[in-house]
Parts: sequence; structure tokens; C-alpha cells
Amino acid sequence: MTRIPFSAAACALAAGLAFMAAPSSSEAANSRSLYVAATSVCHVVDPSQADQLRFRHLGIFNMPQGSSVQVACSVLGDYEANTDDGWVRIEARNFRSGPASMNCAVSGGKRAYGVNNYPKTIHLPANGVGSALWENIDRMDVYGHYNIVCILPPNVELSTIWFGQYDDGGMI
Amino acid sequence: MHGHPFMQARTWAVIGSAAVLFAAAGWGLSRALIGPRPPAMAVAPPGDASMEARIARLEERLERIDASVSRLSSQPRDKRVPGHGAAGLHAQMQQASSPVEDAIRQKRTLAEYEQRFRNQSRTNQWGRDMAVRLTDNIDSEDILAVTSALPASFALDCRTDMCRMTFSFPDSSDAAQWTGAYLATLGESVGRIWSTEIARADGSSDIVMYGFK
Repeated sequence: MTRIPFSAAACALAAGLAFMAAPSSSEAANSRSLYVAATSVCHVVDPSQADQLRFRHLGIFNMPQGSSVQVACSVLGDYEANTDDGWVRIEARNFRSGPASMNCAVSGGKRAYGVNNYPKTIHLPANGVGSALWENIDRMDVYGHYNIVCILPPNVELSTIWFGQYDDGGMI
Repeated sequence: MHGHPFMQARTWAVIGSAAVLFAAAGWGLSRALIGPRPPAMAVAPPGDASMEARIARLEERLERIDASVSRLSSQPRDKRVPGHGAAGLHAQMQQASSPVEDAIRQKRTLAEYEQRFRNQSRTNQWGRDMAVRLTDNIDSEDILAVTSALPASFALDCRTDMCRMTFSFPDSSDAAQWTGAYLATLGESVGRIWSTEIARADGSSDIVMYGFK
């Protein structure tokens, strides 16, 4: 049986402790961001328009023949996170040969006491990707939720939603 | 048989970690089962005056700690940090379901924004431009494409750096769809819009909005 040299065992022990220590540093995180395909968090507001949409693995696509469609998307809010500095980034893909624009409003709050809404236009180049960033979204309370409403034009795909929150208390 | 050097190091790392964890678990288990080994001088002979005095001081100190804990427990918690685990989660749920607090908050915000709005000047270029833009959006093509219900009436007024908008709907369930579409179509015209619904007993409702430059 091969003997383990003392120095090798010491190194192994040190490395092991380092491996064990690594996860603890992330426990004190003060921000979190999540990426999600619009497919999993967005829904058509009026079901009669659902036929126009395709829920694909890269996002929600509004078919070329037809009109704009209102979609609503929810992202998860964390109780422990700050209430006034959430952020959202939305990416969309334009399949038209000319430029397009998509209007969206990100909101934070609750029906019972009111909602802060932040409207914005995402400019999309011809056959290209565009994005917009919303910062300092104020949901007013730890119980406020976040939501996104977009008017998805024909031949445009609502692709990725990137959502983040900060926590000055270091608990998320 | 030899693996990759990194894998060997990682293997030793895992073995080392497991050894440390095993030793720690064993130590903890022995402490739990048979208790800590008594220190050599822990047991005092009966009637030892110095030890009795020390125990009395310890008891006094424990009573002070107990009183402090009771005081802290009776204080109202910070709403943002109700605690962790099942007890903390339960506290969160209890706090979240407070319609009375929500209603007070809605009224307070409405009053605050209305007061601020009334104190502003009517003669302002931004206000005039914004009033036109917001009005144009009310029945824009985008909205008509995605919603069937339009507000039965509306009132819109913009001043120095704020706008107030009130939209009346005969059926409050229609209001949310139109409101969502309307807000989305505003694009870059306003930075933030606070909105709330004032529902009436007959099923109708007013959507009140305050827009900020």
C-alpha cells in the first residue's frame, strides 16, 4: 500500500478547506440577476389573439400577418431585496427588412395600493436585435411585484428578459 | 493507473475535506452523546464560598440576559426583516395580508400626489406638449389593435412637471387591459407614472394616474 506523503496530505487538506470556504462567500451576496426566455414568463393578454403568437424556445414571436399583440410578463420579486432599485432589461429580435419599435412598460407595486409604471420604446434595427434597460424600478414595498407589458408588433420576437435586484442587507 | 494531475489534486482535496468533515461530525456527535469533557477544576467541593459566589454572579447575569431577550421580543419588528425559517415566513404572510394598510397607503399616496399637482403652474410648455401627446395616445392604433374596451370618459391635465389623468370604465375588469396597453404605448414621453384603481360598488371604476417628467 502506497503511503501518502505528509506534505501531500497537508496540501489536500488546505485545498479541501479552500473548496469548502468558497460557497460561504456567496452567502453574503447583495445582488441577484436572472435571465429567462420570454416564452416561460409572458402570456397573451387577450386569448383571442393567441393564434398570432408562437411560443418558441428563443422567445415569443408574433407572426408577420396580423396586428400587434399585448403580452404581459411577470418576473419574481424577492422579499429580502431592496424595494426601489430593481432593474429589467428586455431584448427583442426584429425579423422585418426595415426597422421597428416595440413599446413596453415595466411596473412595480400592487393593485391594492398602486403601481409605478415606466414606459419605454425599444428600437429595433432591420433584421436585428434591440434592447432597453429599466433601472431604479420602485415597487414601493417588499410585497410589491414586478410586471412587464409589451405591445409586440408583427414579425418581432420578444426574446430574453433579464431581471435583477439589489439587497443592501446582503440577504439575497 | 494515473489520472490527470488536476484530478489527483482534486481527489486529495475531496479526501481531505471528507476527513475534516468526518472528524468534525465525530467530535460533534461525541459532544452530543456524552457531553463535553469536564475541565480538571470544574467540580468544586461542597461549601466552596468562592464557587458559590461565582454561581450567584452567573445566575444574576443570566437573569439580565433573559430580561434583555424579553424586551427585544416585545419590540415591533423591522417590517423588512421578520426573521428566517418557518417563523419568519409565517410573519411575512401575516404582514402581507393587510388590506386596511394597503387602502391607507393608496389614499395617502393619492393625497400626496394631488397636493403636489395642485401646487404646480398651469402655464408650462412641457405640460401643454405632454397633454397633447397623452391625449393622442388614448385611442392610438396600437391600443385599438390590442384592446376592445375604451374608457367611457377621461380627464387629463398637465402642469410644470406632472400630469394627472383619470379614466372612467363602466366595467372595472376592462380597465386593466386598456390601462396596460395605454401605459406601454407611452414610450419615452414620461419617466414614471403612478397608477391606481378606485373601484365603485356598481362595478365601474376610475383609473387615476399621475405622470412625472
